[in-house]
Amino acid sequence: MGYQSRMSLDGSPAASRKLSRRGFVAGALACVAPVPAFAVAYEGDDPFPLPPYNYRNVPESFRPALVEYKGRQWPGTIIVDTSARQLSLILDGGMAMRFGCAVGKDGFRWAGLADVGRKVMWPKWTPPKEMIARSPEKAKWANGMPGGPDNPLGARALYLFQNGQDTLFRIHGTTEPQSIGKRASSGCIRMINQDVVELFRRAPIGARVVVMAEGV
Amino acid sequence: MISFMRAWAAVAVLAVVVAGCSSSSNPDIEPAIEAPAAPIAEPLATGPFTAAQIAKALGEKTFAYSGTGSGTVTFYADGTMSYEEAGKGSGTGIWQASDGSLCQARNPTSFLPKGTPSSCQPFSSDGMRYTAGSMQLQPSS
Repeated sequence: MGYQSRMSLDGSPAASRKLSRRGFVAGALACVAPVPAFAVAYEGDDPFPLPPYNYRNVPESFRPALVEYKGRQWPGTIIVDTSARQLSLILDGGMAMRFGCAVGKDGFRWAGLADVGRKVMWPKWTPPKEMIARSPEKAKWANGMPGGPDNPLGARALYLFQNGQDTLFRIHGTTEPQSIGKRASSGCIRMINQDVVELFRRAPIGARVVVMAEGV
Repeated sequence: MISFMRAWAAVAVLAVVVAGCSSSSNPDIEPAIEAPAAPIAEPLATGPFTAAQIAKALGEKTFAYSGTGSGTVTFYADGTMSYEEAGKGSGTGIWQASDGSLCQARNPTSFLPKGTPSSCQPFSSDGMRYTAGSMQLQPSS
């Protein structure tokens, strides 16, 4: 399964390239600082190793791609393009790693800045009271659902902080990969599990997250 | 005969009145020229502000800021910003509009080695200046 890069983040056509997974990873590695040692340790410690994801049914614009980036955001910044339902990690050298994501449903979307304040592998999920009120069947998890393949937060979660406080919004994996590219969440940014694992490996705690407002 | 004289008198009076009204069109009389008014700063919109309104209010504009430090800051449309802090130096950062809030974070510089964490503050205006938390933003002339 190859990855394709067809468009730059600013929407201008870029050279169309097909990259093998190995080429994609090698290319990306060439553009970023070495992955911290702890990330390798996380990968080896994964209690639920993931097989490669089959992106055949994922629209091309939501598949992982190495793309040109001509903007001025610093490398390491994560940009969520809410309108396009794409998440990009800015790399060195005028490049970015772009992934598809799901964003909040109508009435649940937000915009602003945040910092990655915490990273958790196979996170526990505790539905907020408001969610339990909307979906009473989730009350059984009021004290938390253990992390694992059936947990809606998926394989990884990056906790988003503002003003030093947990916003309760996360960038996380999913048990519903078919929701990628849609307005489907309660405000969190969902990614395919394999994609969020990749982001988790590369984005350190303290990474800046820009959630772009729609229609601006 | 009397009515004929009255009619002529009425015509004469009317002629004087018309002449008076048209005197300003006399080419020998210069029309008064109003002194150019001093430019008046257009009052700023007051909130509550949507994200789009905040982005429009700040994007590609320079402001004098005060509150936490003072200096000038320029917000660029691509979400980056640059600032010059009095007595310290220049720096860069990022900003993003949110409904009712302005989010900012400053990048590390020599005088701010760790930068600042992302912070979102309520955004408002009193018609003269914008306020985001403790920061006041006055449009630069």
